[in-house]
Amino acid sequence: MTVVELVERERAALRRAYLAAGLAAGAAAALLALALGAGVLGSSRWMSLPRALPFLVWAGVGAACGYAAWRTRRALGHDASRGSVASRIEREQGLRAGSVVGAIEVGDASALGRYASDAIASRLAPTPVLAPGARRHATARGRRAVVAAGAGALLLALAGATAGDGLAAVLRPVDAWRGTLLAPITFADAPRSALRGDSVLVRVRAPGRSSVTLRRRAVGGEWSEATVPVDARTGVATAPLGRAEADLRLVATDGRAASDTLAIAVTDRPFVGDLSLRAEYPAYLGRTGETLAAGEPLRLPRGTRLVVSGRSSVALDAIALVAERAAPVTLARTGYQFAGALPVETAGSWRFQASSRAAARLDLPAPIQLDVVPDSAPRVDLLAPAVDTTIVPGEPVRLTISASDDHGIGRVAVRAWREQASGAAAPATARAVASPGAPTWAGDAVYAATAELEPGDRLHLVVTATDASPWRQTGESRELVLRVPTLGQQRADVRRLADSAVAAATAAASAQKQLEQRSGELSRMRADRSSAAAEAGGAGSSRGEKAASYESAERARQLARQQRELAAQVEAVREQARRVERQLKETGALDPELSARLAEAQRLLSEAMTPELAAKLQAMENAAAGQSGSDTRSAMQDLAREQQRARQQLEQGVEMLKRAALEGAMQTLGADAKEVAARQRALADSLGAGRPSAERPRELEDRAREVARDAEAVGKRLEKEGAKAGPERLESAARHAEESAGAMSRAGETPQGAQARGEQQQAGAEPKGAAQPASPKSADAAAQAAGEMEQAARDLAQAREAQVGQWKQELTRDLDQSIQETLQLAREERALAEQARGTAAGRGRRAEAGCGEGAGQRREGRGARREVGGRQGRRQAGRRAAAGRGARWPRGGPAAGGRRSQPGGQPQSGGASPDGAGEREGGAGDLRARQSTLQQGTQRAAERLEQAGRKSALVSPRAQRAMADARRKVESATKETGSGSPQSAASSLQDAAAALNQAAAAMVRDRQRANSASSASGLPELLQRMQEAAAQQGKINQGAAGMPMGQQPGNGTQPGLTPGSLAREQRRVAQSLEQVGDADASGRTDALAKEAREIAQALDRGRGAADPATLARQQRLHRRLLDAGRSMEQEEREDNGKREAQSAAGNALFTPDAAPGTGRAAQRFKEPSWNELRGLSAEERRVVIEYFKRLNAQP
Amino acid sequence: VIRSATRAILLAVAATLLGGAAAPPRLAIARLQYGGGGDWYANPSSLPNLIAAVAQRTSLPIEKTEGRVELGDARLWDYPFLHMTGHGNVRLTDAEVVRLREYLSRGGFLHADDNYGLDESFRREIARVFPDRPLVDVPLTHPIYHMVYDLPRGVPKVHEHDGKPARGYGIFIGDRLAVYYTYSADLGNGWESPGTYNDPPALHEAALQMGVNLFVYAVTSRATP
Repeated sequence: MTVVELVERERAALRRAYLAAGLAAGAAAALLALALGAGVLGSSRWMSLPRALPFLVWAGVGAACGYAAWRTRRALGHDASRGSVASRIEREQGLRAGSVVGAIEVGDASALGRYASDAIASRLAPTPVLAPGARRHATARGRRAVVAAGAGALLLALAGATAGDGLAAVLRPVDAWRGTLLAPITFADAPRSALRGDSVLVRVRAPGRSSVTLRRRAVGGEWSEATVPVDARTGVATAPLGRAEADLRLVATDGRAASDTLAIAVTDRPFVGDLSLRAEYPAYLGRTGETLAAGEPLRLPRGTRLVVSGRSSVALDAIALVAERAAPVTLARTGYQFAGALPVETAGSWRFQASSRAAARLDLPAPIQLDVVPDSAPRVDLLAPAVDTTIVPGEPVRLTISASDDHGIGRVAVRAWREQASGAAAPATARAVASPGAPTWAGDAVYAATAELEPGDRLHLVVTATDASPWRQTGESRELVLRVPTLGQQRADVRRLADSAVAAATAAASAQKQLEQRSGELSRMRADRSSAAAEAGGAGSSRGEKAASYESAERARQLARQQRELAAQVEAVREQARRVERQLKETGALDPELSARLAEAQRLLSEAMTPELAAKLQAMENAAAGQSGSDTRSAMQDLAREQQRARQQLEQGVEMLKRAALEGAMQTLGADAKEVAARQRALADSLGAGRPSAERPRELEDRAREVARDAEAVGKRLEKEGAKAGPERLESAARHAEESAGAMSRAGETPQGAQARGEQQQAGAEPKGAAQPASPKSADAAAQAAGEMEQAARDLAQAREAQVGQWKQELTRDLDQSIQETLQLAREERALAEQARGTAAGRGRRAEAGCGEGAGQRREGRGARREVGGRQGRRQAGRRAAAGRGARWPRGGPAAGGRRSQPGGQPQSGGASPDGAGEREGGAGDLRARQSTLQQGTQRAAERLEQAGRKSALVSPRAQRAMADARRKVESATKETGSGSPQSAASSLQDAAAALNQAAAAMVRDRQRANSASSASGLPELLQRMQEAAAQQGKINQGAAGMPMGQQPGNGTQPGLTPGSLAREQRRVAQSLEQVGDADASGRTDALAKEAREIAQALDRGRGAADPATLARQQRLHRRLLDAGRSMEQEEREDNGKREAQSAAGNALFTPDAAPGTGRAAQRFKEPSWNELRGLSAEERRVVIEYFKRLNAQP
Repeated sequence: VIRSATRAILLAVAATLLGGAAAPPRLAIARLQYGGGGDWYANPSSLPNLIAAVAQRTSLPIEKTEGRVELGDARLWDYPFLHMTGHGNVRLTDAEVVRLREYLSRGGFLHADDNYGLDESFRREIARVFPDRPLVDVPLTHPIYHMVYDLPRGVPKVHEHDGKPARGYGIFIGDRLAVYYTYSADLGNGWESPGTYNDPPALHEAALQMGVNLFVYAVTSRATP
C-alpha cells in the first residue's frame, strides 16, 4: 500500500467520523429546537401566541441544522484534508515533518520519491491507525453530538407528553395556523327552546381545550363573553346562562376555532287549567252530586266518582292522573279540552301528567289531594247474652243480635270455636244466620252445637256481619265466651239459680199482694164515690162522677198494665224454676222427689196467671173505658177475686220453690261433698302408694272449705225458715267438712306435701299428673280428710231426709189440728141446728096454744122446760166452746173473743119474758152470737189449712175446696140466724155442719195420705197410686175382655172376676182415683175418676156384662191412666217427645255371626269394609287394614 | 256344774252365731244410679218382677228387693248384677269410669238396657270404661241365650223402635261376658208389670226368661279373685 493510500485510508476514517458527528449535531439541534417549540406552544399557548410561531420553530430547526452542516463541512475541509491528515500522521507517528507530505508529493515524481514513499509506506503500513489522536478528537466530537441528539430526543418526547398540543402545533403548523388542529367545538344537547324565565344551561364540547370562550347575545342586547373552563376529563364545558328572558345566540370559541352559532328560542309556558271537579256520591248515601273547589284537599267517601274536566293551552297528546300505588287514570281529550272520572278508592296526591307535541313542558294544575273516607264496616252488637256466662251442654244458646250498615247487611254469621279445658282450641266454624239485605237487622239466632261440650270447656262466639257494599266490609261483635262449668261449678250455679228463683218468686208474690190490695181499694173508692154522687144528685154531681170515672179508669188501666207485667215476671220465674230442674238433672242431683217438688212449683206458678185472670183484666179495662161505675166496680171485684186466687197460688208456689231450693242445695252439697271425698281418697291412696297423683291438696282444701261454708249457709237459711232437723245435720256436715279441710291442709303442710304444693303453685297451670313425693304423714292426713268429708256427705244426705221428715211432721200436725177444729166446729154447728130447730118447734106450739088456757098453761110449762133446756143447751155449748178454746185455740180460738163480746148471749139468759117473746129474742140473739163465733173459728181453720196447703201438695185442693165451701155455708148460716127464721136457720146450720164434716173427711184422707207418704210433697205417692190404679184397670180390662157378651156371673174366664165383681172392681178404681184426685190439682184425675164411675154404672146397668162400647171405654181409660201417670211425672220424656210403646211384631230379627261367643274371637274389632275405605288411597287403605290386624292380634 | 253349764251355753251360742255368719250371702240385683241427667229410675216395676221371676224359677238365693247403687258407693261390690236403663244422658266421672272397670274386671256384670234414648251416651261412656274392648254382637250360641231357657233367636224384642231389630251386644273380658247391652229391645219394658203396656203375655214371658238367663250367667260366671 502506498503512502497515499494509507493517508487516504486515514483520511476516509476521519471524514466518516466528522460526518457522523455533524449529522448527530444536526439532529440534536433539530430535536432541541422542536422540543423547545413544543414547550413554548404547549398547554394551548399555540392558540394564543402568534400563529407564525410554529413556523419560526421550524425556521430555528433549519438554522440549527445549517449550522451543524457548516461546522461539519469546515471540519471535513480543514481537519480531514490530505495534507492535514498527513501532517497529523507525521506528528503522531513521530516522523519527520513533511516526510509523509513529501512522500505524497514526490511519490509519483521520481524513483526516489517513490522509494521514499515506499519507505514511508512500509513504515506506516503495519500501523492500523496512523493518526489516533485525530481519530479520538473526531470520535469525541461525534460522541458529544450524539449525546446532544439523545437529549434533544428526550426533550422532544417530554414535550410531546406534557405539551402534546404544542408539539402538534409544531408538527402541524398549517393546521395550527388554520385552527383545525383539534376537534371542532360543538354544543352538546343544546336546547333549541326554553320557557321564559327558566334557567338555561348549555354544555360545550371542546376536547383538548382548557377553556372556551362563550359568547352570547340576547335579542336586543350586545354580545358578551365568558370564559368557561373545560373539564379536562370529559372535554365538556358547562355554562349556566341564567333565566331565559329572550331568544339567545351562543358561540363558543377557543381563540383559534369557533363553534356553530346556537340559537335558543325562549317561549311562553303551555298550561293545563280551567280545572273543574265534581263529586258524584254513591247511591247508598243518598246525596246529590256537588262541585268541589279545586286546589283544596278533598275528603270524599269511598265509592264516590270524582269527575275531572279542564282545558289546556295547547293540544294535548295525553293527560292522566297518577298517584303512588294506584293505577293511572287516563282522561279523555277533545281538542283543547279534557275530562274523565276518578274513582275515589285510593287516598293520596293525584298529580296531572300531560304531554303535548306543542310543548316540551306543560304548566299543570296542582295535584289533587284526595282523602278517602272508607266505607264503615257493619256494626254488630251482641245484645244477649250481655256478658260472658255459663251454659249447659246440649242447651241451645239464644243470641240476640243487632247489625246495621249504610250499605245494607248482606250476611250475618256466627263464628264459633271451642276451647277445651286443657287449652287446646278447635278450628273455628262459621254458620250463616241471616241474609237480610236491609240496612238494619235485629233478630235472634240459636247456636245449637253445644252437645259436644264438656265441663270446663269454653265456647267462643263472635257474630260477624258483612255488608252489601262492593268491598264486602265485615264487622265483628264482641267475643262472647260461654263456659261450661265443671260439675262442682254447675252445682254451685244451680244453688245460686235456685236462690235467685226463690227471691224472684217472693218478689212476685209480694207484688201480687200489693196489686190485690190496690184493686180492692180501687173498687171501694169507686163504690164510695158512686154512692156519694148518687146522694148529691144534680148536674154537678154528674160532672164530678165523670171526673172520678176518668180517674178510676186511668188507675184501672195502670193496674191492668202492672198486672200484665207481673204475669211476665211470674213466667220468668217459672222458666227459672225449669232451668233449676234441668240443671239439677244435668248435675245428677235430681231425684224423683225433688223433681216432683220442682214440677209442682212450676205448675203452681204457671197456674197463678190463668186465662181467667187475663179475661177479668180485659173486662175491667173495658168497663173502665166505658166509665160505667157499676160495671167497673163489678169488674174490679171480679178481678180482685182472681188476684186473690193468683196470690194464693203464687204464695204456694213460692213455698214449694223455697223448699225445693233448700232440698236442692242440700242435695248438690252432698254431691259436692261426695266428689271432694272421692278425690281426697284418691289422693290419700296415691300418697300412700307413692304414686303420682293428679289431685292438689290446696285445691281440695279449698273445696272442702267451700262445702263447709255452703252447708253452714244453708243451715242458717233453714233456721230462718223455722226448721230444726236439717240445720242440726248441716251443722255437723259443716263441722266435718271444716275438719276435712284442716286435715287436707295438714296433708299439704308436711314437708313433702308443702314441697309438692309449692311446686304446683310455682308451676301455676301445671298439668295434672305431676308427681308428688310420697309421705306417710300426708297420706294419713289425706285419708283423714277423706273420711271427714265422707261423713259430711252422709250428714248432708241425712239433713235432707231429716228436714223433709220435719216438714212432713209439721204438715201432719197442722192437718191434725185442722181436723180437730173442723170436727169441733161441725159439732157446734149441729148443736146450734138442734137449738134452732127447737126454737122453731116451740114457736109453732105457742101459736097453737093461743086457743085456751089449758093450752096456755101447757105452753108455759113447755116454755119453762124449754127455757131450762135452752139454758142447759147454752151451758153445754159454752162448756164445749170453753173446752175448745182451752184445748185448741190457746189464743182465743175460733169462738173465743167474739163470743165474749157478743151481747146477745147475756140479757136473754135470765130475762125470760112472761109471754115467751123475750125468750125467743134471747134465744135468737144467743144463736147469732154463737154462730158468729163459729164463723170466726171456721175462718181461722180455713186459713190454717190454706197455710198448710201452701207448703205441701199433700193438702189436697179438694180439702181446700171443701173447707172453702164449708166457710161459705157457715157464713150463709150466720146470715140466716139473723134473719129471724129459726126454720131456715136450722136448715142452714145443718148444711154448714155437713159441709164442715165433709171438709174434715177430706182432711182426714189427706192426713192418711200424708202418713203413708215418703216425701213431704206427696207426688211420688201420687204417681205410685196412679200406676196402681192403671194396673188394676188393666186387670179389669183383661177380665172384661175374656167375658163373652151376656155371660152370666160365674162363667168369667178370669179367675175371681165375675160380671158383678167387675163393676165392683171398677167402682174401686173410681174410688181410688177420686182419692188420688184429691191431690191432683190439675183436675185430670177427677175426670178419670168420673169416667171410671160411669163405666161402673154402665156395668151395673148391663148386669155386669161389658158391651163393646163399655169395653172400649175401659181400654181408653186404661191408656189415659198410663198417660196421666207419665204426664204427672214430667220426666225427660217430655223433652224427648212422647214415647209410644208398641209391642214388637217379631218380624225384625238380627242374627249375629256364628262366631264362638267366648275368647278372642268375640273381641275382634270389625275391619272396615271396602265401601268405608274407598275414599282413601291404596297406601292408606293398606295402613288401615294393617292397623286393624295388629289391633285384633293383640292378646 | 253351774260353771260347766254356763260354758256349754256359751259354746252353743257361739256355734249358733258362727253358723249364722257362715250362711251364704244372698245374691242381689242393683239398679245403677248414674249421673248425666238420664232417668236411671225408669221402669220401676221391672227389677222387682225380674227378682220375683228369678226367685220363683231358680234356686238361687236372691234378695227380694232391688238395690240402688252409685258407682262410688262402697256397696257396689255387694251386687253381682248391675242393671242400668233410661232414656236420657249418661255421664260418668273419671273416678266412676275407673271404678266400673275395676268392678267389671273383678267379676261384676252390667246389663245396660237402652230404653230408647240411652244408646249414644252409653256407647260413649262404655268406650271410656273399656277403650280397648269393643262392643260386639253376642253370638246366638252364647250361654246367655241357652243357660236356663233356650232363646235361639237371641234377645227378645219387646217394643218396636224405628223398625230396627233387637241387638245384644257384649264386652268380653277373657272368656267372660262382663257387659251385656240390649239395644232396640226394650227388655226392661218387657219386665214391667203386665198392663203397663199393651204387650202380649208372651213377650213379657220371653223378656223374663232372658232376664233369668242373664242373672244366672252373671252369678255363675264370676271371675275367681
